[in-house]
Amino acid sequence: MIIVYNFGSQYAHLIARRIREMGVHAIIVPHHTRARTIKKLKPDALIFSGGPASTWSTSALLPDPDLFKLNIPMLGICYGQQVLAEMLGGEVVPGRAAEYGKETVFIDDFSGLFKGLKGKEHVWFSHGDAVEVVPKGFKVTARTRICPVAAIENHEKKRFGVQFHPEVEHTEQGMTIIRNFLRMTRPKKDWKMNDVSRQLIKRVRKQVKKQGVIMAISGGVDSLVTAAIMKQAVPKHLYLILIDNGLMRSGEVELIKEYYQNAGFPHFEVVDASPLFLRALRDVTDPEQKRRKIGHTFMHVFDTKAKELKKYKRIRFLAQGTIYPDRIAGTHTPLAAIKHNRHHIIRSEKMKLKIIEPLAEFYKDEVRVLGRQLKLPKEKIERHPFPGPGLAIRIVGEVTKDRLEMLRSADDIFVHELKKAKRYQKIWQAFAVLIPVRTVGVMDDYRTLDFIISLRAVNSKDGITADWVRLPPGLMETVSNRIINEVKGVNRVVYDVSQKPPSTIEYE
Amino acid sequence: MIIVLDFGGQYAHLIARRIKDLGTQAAILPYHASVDEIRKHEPLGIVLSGAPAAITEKDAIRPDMKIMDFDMPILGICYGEQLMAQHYGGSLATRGAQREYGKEEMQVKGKNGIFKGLKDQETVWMSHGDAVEKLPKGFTVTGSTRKCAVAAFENSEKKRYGLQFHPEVVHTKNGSKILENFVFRICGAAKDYSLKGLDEQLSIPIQKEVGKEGVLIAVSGGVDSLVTAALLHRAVPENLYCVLIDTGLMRKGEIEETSRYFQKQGFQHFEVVNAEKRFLERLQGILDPEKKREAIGHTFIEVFEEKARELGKKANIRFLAQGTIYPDRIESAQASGAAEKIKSHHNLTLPEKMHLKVIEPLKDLYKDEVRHLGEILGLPKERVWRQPFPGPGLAIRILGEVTPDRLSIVRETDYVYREEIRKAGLDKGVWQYFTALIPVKVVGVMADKRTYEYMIALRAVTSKDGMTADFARIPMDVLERISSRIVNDVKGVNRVLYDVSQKPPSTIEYE
Repeated sequence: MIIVYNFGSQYAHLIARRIREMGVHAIIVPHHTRARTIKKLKPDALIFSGGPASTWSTSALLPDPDLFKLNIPMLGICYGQQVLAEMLGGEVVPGRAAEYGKETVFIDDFSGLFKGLKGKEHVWFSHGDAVEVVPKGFKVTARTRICPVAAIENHEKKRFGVQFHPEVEHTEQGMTIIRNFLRMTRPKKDWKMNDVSRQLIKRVRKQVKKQGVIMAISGGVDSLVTAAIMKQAVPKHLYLILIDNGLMRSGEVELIKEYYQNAGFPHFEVVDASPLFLRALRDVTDPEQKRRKIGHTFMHVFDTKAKELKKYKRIRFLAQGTIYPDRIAGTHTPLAAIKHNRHHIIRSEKMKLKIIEPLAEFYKDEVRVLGRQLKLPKEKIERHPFPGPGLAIRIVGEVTKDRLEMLRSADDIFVHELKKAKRYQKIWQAFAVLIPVRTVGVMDDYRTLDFIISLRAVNSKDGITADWVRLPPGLMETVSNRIINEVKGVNRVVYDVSQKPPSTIEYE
Repeated sequence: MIIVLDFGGQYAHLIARRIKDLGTQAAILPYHASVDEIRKHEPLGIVLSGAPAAITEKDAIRPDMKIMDFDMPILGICYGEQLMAQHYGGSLATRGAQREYGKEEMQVKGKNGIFKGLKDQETVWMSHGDAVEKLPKGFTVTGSTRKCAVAAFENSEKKRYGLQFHPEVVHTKNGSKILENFVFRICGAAKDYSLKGLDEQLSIPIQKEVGKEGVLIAVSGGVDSLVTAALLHRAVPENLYCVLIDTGLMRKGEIEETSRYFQKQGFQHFEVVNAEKRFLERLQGILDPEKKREAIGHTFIEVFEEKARELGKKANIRFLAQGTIYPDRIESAQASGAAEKIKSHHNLTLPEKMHLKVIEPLKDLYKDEVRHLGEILGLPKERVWRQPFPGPGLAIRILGEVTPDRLSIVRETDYVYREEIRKAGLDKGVWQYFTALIPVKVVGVMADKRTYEYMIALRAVTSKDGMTADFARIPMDVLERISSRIVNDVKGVNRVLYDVSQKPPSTIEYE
């Protein structure tokens, strides 16, 4: 097993995922985890992730120094390399060599991490600080145009550092670098997805027995796979609730309803709570506040429903589609994807329900593998990610019924045209955003002052870095014309041409 | 001479322009012009333009219907067509099922009259809610589209022609051919209008009028004021006083570039007035686009007046020259009583309190004609064919309040954008391109930290005349470079959007 020390990087998960893809179990721990805890876990190696802090500042995040006495191989990535340098007697300086995005790295040593690479490689950077003085016993193994210490190694102690990010897809030979690290640390191949679904079903059946389980579903992959596992485990005792928050896409509630009804879930109910959500969102413009309001309202509606059910049924469990990234505090789960977990746990204690989270150990793509093992419909498993707060965070600013209506229609047109052009399946995520800022237009010789719709379509492997899709101009023209002609209140359409980072996929 | 009766549609200009381009003189008259007034121009034919109003509305505007008794050809376009249909006893269907906006395919059914030489199917550009339902007696249908059975009709005996679509916009592929048929074949006009010798023609009356007295002009760096200044420099070089007001709302490097040009060209009296601070103060707290324009206009007049008074003490200034061009006069509803104000123009409000006589040598010319005149006057091509830049400058490219920070962001992004477009060799093919700041903060992520910053919209359009426009197909790798440079180099921006809207129903500018 490999342990990833998380210093607050959005990429910590990516590192763990990459290692799991190579068949080795990886877990993430917070940066303050003590050395004695690590000793008990007996990891094969440690990886220090990147992070937003600076080692030279008073708010530096530094790990337990005793870790270095454990004699475990280590790899420091970005901030992690700076941590290695700082704690082992080197020096880090601020702002000397800021690099964001793709850079060419020149490799000087091919014996360790860079075995099999060429002298010049394209890698991906995101740093302001840099290592200036290398600690004793280390040598520099790579450099760039402006960063003289792009990678360091201490072969003897098996300690390695890279200033760039091997875990992101833009580093072309990133997987080779990680594989080289694993080769030198020789961990057990102890992570396989075969047969996992059967084990999970067995485990749930044993735990729940003949008691009732309640669960809220959203139409997303996580809750679908969870529900499917629960159904196979305890078919008669599963109670599903779909809360219609009025923030879903066009026709979505109907589609989810149809699926669950036809897929043989015996107890399935839809609660229409859209007026409640709209009321809660009135006058709210701050994105965080929006999320909180939606979270609270969701909990309130779910609680009411759960209490009602509990009067008649022996419900003892609450199932949730929590996945691994949802559980790790301090990592940036893409904000938009946050579920209402913590509230759930608090409330469920009050209601004396036990929590079941069959997917708690898995990443999204692993969940999709499970979905395939369970023979769930392909289009449901490969659905574009859709955030919990729904269309509410795709209206920049206040959410109103009219705005939701506009956004829903525009989004529907965009998705429809992408499907018609056979492009939807090839795109990671595509959606419309309403920017409620008025610009001038002219229609039928009249002056109009209406809102802007932004079209977002990105490709990504993991949602952590993303690039905008090069759509043909003809398609953009069709979408733009249809939206402006068919959606009242919109007179301008823009196409988002920003990469993540420094932009994000979602807007709020 | 062909007369275009203006019912307030912004297309009236285009019609006149197209006709002039074809080589015959055209003039716009307000829709209510009397029969005598029209006769005075001795026209060979009349065109009735489109209108922002629906003809089926209660107080729909109408011309003096006696014009229908004229023995000369009349072409009705859109609103004009419906007016004609109604007059001759046809009927209309109101706003609804037939509405069409944008390109449509028309089946051509009669090729003897106005459609001579066209194909069986033609792409035409529509913008209408109402439509002709029942044809008047004696008329035949000459074109139909999917939704609109009567897209064109005519009565060749009476020489009356109606088009539901707009032949004057470039999106109607063979629109010029249609107008050509009307003007030359049907009206029998001669090709007798051209721009040759225009510089002489315009200089002589200026010399006569101005004599030895001083002329004051405010130059902006834009084409219209530049050509006016150059023309005056040719006519009365020693009596010309040029003032360039630095509003602080110009693009990067613009003031310097313009000053250099005037100095190099040997303008004897040229001065820059730095009024940046005053403009910014006056714009504080203003969100409404019209109010912004007003504030800028008033401040401009104020600064200019001060300068004029100061100059007046040294020189005998009696005239104020302005770069007003034909569309400026019509858009501000001088020629037409009904034109909806699309933009406000401080050009027209400036001289009121100045006690100076206004001269506007370009007042009958269209933009293209002004540019050709500039070339005749020997101005450098890149200045003459420079993309349009609005009077209120960068202020209307910031949606909402103008602040120093926002100005600096929009100026820097505009600079990056222009530089990359030029480097990619795209500046010649694009009509106008600029950045607009959307003052809404959205989330981004940089070096593992969350950012909340502004969005920048990139606008680039292709157009023949600014009346209709399409978004420019900028190659994706160029867009990528622009987007990366903007988010990396310009602080305060974390998202870049490319505008993919056509005009209409959008516009080129944002405010």
